[in-house]
Order: sequence, then structure tokens, then C-alpha cells
Amino acid sequence: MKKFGAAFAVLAFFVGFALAQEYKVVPLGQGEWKDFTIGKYGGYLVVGSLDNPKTFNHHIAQETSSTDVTGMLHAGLTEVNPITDMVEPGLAKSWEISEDGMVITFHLRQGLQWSDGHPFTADDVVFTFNGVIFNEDVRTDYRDVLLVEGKLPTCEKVDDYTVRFTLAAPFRPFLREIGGAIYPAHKLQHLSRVYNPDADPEALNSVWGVDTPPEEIVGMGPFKLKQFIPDQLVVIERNPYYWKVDPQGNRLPYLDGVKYVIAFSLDTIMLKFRNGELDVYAPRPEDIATLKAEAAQKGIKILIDPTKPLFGTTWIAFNQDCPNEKLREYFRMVEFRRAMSHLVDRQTIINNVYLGLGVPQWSPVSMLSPFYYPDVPKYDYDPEAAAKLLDQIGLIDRNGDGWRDFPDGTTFEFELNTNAGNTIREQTCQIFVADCAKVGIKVNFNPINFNALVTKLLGGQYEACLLGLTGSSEPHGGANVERSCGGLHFWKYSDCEDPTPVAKRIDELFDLGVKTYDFNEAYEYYKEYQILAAENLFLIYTVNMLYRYAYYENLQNTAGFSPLAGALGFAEVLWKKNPNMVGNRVIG
Amino acid sequence: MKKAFLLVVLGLLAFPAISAWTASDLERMATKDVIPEIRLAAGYALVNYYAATKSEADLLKLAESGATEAVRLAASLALSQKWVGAGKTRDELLSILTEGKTPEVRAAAVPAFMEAIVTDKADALLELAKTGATEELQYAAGKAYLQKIRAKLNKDTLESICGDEALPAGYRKAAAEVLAGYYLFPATTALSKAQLEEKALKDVNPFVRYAAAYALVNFLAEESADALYKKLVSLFLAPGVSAEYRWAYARALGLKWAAGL
Repeated sequence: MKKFGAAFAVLAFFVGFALAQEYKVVPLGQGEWKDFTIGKYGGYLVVGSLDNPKTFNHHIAQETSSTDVTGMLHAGLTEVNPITDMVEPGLAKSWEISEDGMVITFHLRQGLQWSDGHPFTADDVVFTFNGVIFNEDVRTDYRDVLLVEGKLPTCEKVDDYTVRFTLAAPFRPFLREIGGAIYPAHKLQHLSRVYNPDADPEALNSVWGVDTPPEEIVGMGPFKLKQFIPDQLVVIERNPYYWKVDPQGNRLPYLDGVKYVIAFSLDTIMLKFRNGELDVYAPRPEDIATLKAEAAQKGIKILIDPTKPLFGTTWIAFNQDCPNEKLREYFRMVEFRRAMSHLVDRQTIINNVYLGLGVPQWSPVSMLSPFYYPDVPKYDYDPEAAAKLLDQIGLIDRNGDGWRDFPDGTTFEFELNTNAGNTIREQTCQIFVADCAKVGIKVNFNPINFNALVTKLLGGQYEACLLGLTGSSEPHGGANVERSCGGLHFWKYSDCEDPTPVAKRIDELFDLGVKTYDFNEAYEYYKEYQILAAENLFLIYTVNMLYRYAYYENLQNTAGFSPLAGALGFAEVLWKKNPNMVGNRVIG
Repeated sequence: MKKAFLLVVLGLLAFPAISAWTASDLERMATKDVIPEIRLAAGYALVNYYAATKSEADLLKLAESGATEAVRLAASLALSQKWVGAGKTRDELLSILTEGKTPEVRAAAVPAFMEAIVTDKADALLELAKTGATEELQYAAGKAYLQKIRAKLNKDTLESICGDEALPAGYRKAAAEVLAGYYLFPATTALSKAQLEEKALKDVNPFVRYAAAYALVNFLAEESADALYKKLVSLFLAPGVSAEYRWAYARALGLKWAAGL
């Protein structure tokens, strides 16, 4: 049996409590939390929201205007460390995994209470999964991410503080996915037909709508709902029973609450931030100059950290199955693809297109992922090296017209597509095309409608294209791209029928990566995958946009703001030097 | 006369530039200091104190008839904090911007009015920036307009607005404040502190000087209150130093003093 997380579970006895309360200590000032300080209580974090929440039912909510709020009201068995992105104990203080990797037993923290003071037990966990998530009556997307080989796990109570899940197969990402919101059985169980055959099948979909009295919405999160004024404001306030403390034993969160100011325009939200009505704002690149100008005068801090790029990738793909046989032959040569990578002037693209707000990207795994391996082979901008490689594979100018030719004397040229209207991608393409021309490679740049481009891409009808993919910290999220039979394996769909040795190995690595629960072992598999991807350049990565965040300097413990969690991911440890200030304005 | 000033300056230079003045010290300086920029710095430092301790009515009165420009400025900025999000209607704010008794009262309505108009069409905002009845109205509309079209802005465009004498001063001032950001970002084309100082001192266009000074505050804010204070005192008698350059030091010193309040 492997044990995880015992080091994080701290048994805290508080004088006057009848039951030991197994609080989680957030080690502010230590380890990865070293840049964080013990805070002081008081004040509200004020943030902008583009719309009203549609529901306060977290498992039904689909839009961020709802989930930004409901995400603060609940907690899960596991949670993701907002700094390291590693899975950690949450409401479960530890867990054990059977030797075959298919049975996971969670040990719950004892002595915790819901936001209404009711005790938290295994019954709540079992109700949440069996009564809500696995209940077909409930329209929740959460059910989908818990499918392992197409089957839902089973969930059973072992005792009041132990629950057991049995999976159809070992699946490492399960530990991350199982961290969804736990719901209170004492408030909702009667609405589930699993427990009450007479219940309305719609009851769990409609419960906790936006007109629900706030005190009826009960959770284990750091905050509880206080007020919702449609079109104006949502207010959440400190959960007095929250189960996390700082190293001095102060119960978190420090803030009295969070206010979501509803404005229906980004222009208004930016202006409210500039006017000191909001504490935080996620600026777009075009906002930066305006905010920089007034930063010192208003006490605005703008976070632009080159170690914190956004998730997602931008790349150039060469279709190794493209209809043009002569091109296909070269696109399949790794030397050709390396030459193309040598013609991507990432630094110029960063400076001129991304206004400095970018970093070169080399790996398919995000830099912020714990699985990111930084030392992959890099074929950086080097037109001379590109020319040499092109010479080696026989792409030379045979007629003196300045363009390299196929061996039959016809000009070597290909079409490069991107989605029209995306100025960043169009400008990146233009820089690449110009650099290709410098070494005699003729590229016909043709930006086209996004939907038309996707059709070409998925139909295998393109020659080359520059596009992007979304990403996450979990490498397995890229399985549909990287696996030889993946639906988005658009650079060489023929790998599915006739995989190359490298494609076969990547398939194996993706299998191995999810079957072990040992992070270090999984890391080694994904490291090998990243090296193979970088050496073979199935996708030639270009530049990744940096994360940007702006906040007023009155706000403390902002050190960890990143795409992993943003500002709200740190809400339980944020505090204000002057609790009576919002932005740079004194209130009250 | 000059000799007397010199003695005053020497005396001020010897005066310890305490970074943590009390509010009453700052009020005294904002009212009585012999150097206008020291008065101004004290005024800037008083803004949050005024916002926290004075009523809207008191601030309005001070913004109308405060003893010095610095006191009126402090009251104006504090009043603007109170008016943001306070529920004043667009018409009420427009009325203040056009009929307020002093520039400081009118200026107090700028942030709240910007929020009232920011979702208007860009063309309408530009028209208001060009034809607004007062400089403060032109400025508010100009700022809202420039925020709205920020994705299309660049340094050249903004310098051109600053340099266009056919455009009203309020709009050009708004453009100068945005231009300041392009003197700081992106990093590859940003001006150094020395370049900003040069521009704030010597550019022929007062709005470009203001833009450079506005950007310069971001550098000066890193300096000590003592250094800023001494610099302002030394600038007092220096001939030919632009008002914008002196303002940048006053603004930065105000930040330092506010932090210590």
C-alpha cells in the first residue's frame, strides 16, 4: 500500500473543543509558501464580474460568472496546491492506493463542520458521489471527468471517516479529478432519488438557484454566500467553520469576504479598477501601457513574470499526410522540420508581436505544469543552420531564381494557413514567411476563416498551419493530440494505422503515465515524451503569452498569482494592509 | 531678494525631510510652505486622509475655496474617491463638470463621469473630448475615449494628439497621460529615467513634457523622500526648469509622504 499526504495533515487540538479537529495548516512563510506572510483579519476583496451568476449549484454551473462564486463555497477530498499545482489532501487528510491501483481509500479529517455548523462525515462524501454526481438525474459535466475506461468508479462508506472508491483501471489523474465539491447530505439528500424514490428528478438540478436564501447554501469552502443583488453585486463572507489555519493557528480566511461587482463590459471593469473600485484586474496586453503610466501614482502593481506563461500552445504544423506527395516526403523528414524550427525567430516575435509579453516555447507541456521538463532539445532561430539542413536533404536552388527547388526542378513551396483576424498569429506568420524567404523557402501565406481552417486541419487537407491548442497542467489532457489514433493527431493521421517507432513509444508513455500514482515515475515518462516531441518537432512551438495580473499594493500575499489559480485561488490567504481600503480608496 | 531666497533654500536643505509627517504637518505645508511644489506634495499626501476623515460637504467646500491650490487639489482628489460609485447620475456629474465653481470641483467629477460614459460609442466620446465645454469635460471624455480605443493606440498617434494645437487642452492632457504608458511599455522601446527627465525638461511641447513627467513619477517613486525633497528645494530657484519636471518630483514626494501618514 502506498500512502500519500500524511505529512500535510496536522492534528490540531483546540482547548474547549470536545472533538479533535484535524485542520489543515497552510504553511505560510515556509517551503513553497515562503513568500507569504501571516495576515491580519478584515476587509473585502472586490473583483469585477462580467455577468450575473446563473446558479449557486456548483455541480450544475457552467459559466464562470457562477463558478467563480460557487468555487469559493465548497471544498473537495483532494485539492491542487495553487503554487506547485501538485495534488494535496483536502477534506481527506490522506489516502491509500491498492497494489493494483484500482482501489483508493480516503481518510477524512475529523471534527470538521459545514458552514452551518453541522458535522462533516463520510455520509456527505458518499451522498455527493452516489446521490449527486453519479446520479443520471443530475446534469453535471463532472461525471464525465470521473469516467475511467468509460466506467464510473464505485463509492462506498467504510466508516464515518473513511470512504473507498473502486476504479475500472488504474488512473493517476483520478486523484486530481476527485477533488470536486462535496455537498452536504443533511441539506440535500432528500432531493436525490438515490436516497428518496419520491424525489423530483429535477430537484437536484434546480436546487440552490440564484433566488435561494443565502443561509440555505451550505458548504465546506472558505466562504459562504451572504448576498446577491442581480445586476449589481454578489457578496460572500468568511465561513466561520473553515478547516484551514495558518501556522499560528489563526483560522483562514483572513478576508471578511469577497465582493463580485457585476459590470457587463470589460471597459467598465477596467475603469472601475483604475478608479480604485476593484482590488484586482486581469489586464489584456493592450491595457498594460495605460496601467503602467498610472501605476506608481495609484499604487497599482502589474505582475508580468517570464516564468509564468499561460497554459496552451501556439505552433506550426506540417501535414505529414498532405495530399501533395512531394511535400509530404519532405514534411516527414525530421531535418526539414528542424530547419523550419531554426527559421522561427521567437525573440523577434516576442518583441514585435507580443510586446515583450511572451516566452519561447519548446515543450508540449506547459511551463507551469509539475510535469514540465525544461531541458528538451531546442532548435532555435538560426537561418544558417536551417540552410545547411535544407542543403543536406537536397532542397537547393537549382535554377538560380532564389527559391529552393525539388529534385525535379520545380519550386519547393507550400501554403501556410492561420485563422484570419487573429492579428498575433498573422503577424507571427508574416515574420516566419520573411525568414523562410531569406533562405530560399517559398511560403504562400493564406489566412482563412477559423472554421474553414479547422475543417482543413481535421480533414488532413492542409499543408502547413499556425494555430494553437488549449492546455492544462496534466499532460494526459493532450492525449487526444499526441496519441497516434488521437482525434487531434492532425499532423499525421496515418500514424493510427501505421505508427512510426516514435509514435508507438509516445503511445506507450501516455499509457504508463496514467497507470502509476507515483509522481516521480510519471514524471520520467512525460519527460521522455517531451524530449521525443522536441527532437521530432511534430509541432514546432513558437511563443507562449505571459500571464498578466494587476492589483493594488494594499493587497498582500499576492506572490503566487499565476494562471494556475489567479487571484481567487489565493483568496483564503489574501489579506489587506488596510482593511478599510478598496483599490487605493479609503472606504467607510 | 535673491539672497533672501538663497537663505531660505539653504535653510530648507538643512531641514530634515521626515517621511512620516502628521496630517496637521502636511496641512500646514500644503497651506504655507514657501515652495509651491512642496505645497503640492503635501496636498497629494493628504488625499486619503481627507477621504477618510472629511465629509463630502467639507471636501466640496475645500475644493471650492481651499486656501491654496494644493489644499483644493487634495480635497478634489478625495472628493473624486467619494463620488466614484456613489450613485450620482450622468446628468449630475455632467453638470458638475461644466458648472463646477473651480477647476478642482470640476475635476472631482472626472472618474465617476468616465464610468458613466465609458460604454458610449467611441465617436461620441471623441466628439465630447473635442468639444466639451470645459477642460475637465474634455479630459474626462478624452480619457474614456482613449481607453476605449487603446488597442489601436501607439506612441506616434498619441504624440500627434499631444502636438496638435487645434485640439483642446483637456483632450491633449488625457492623451499625454496615456502616452506616458508608451514611454514605459513595451520594454524594448521604453525610455530610461534619464531620457524621461530630458523630455520632461526640454521637449518643446508642454503635453509631451507632461507625458514624460507622468511616466517619470514611476521612477521617482522608488527614491527616498529625503532625496525628492532636496531635489525640489534645489529646483526652487533653478531657472528654466519646466513646471512638468517639478510636478513629477512633487507628485512622487506626495506618494512618499502619503505612505508615511
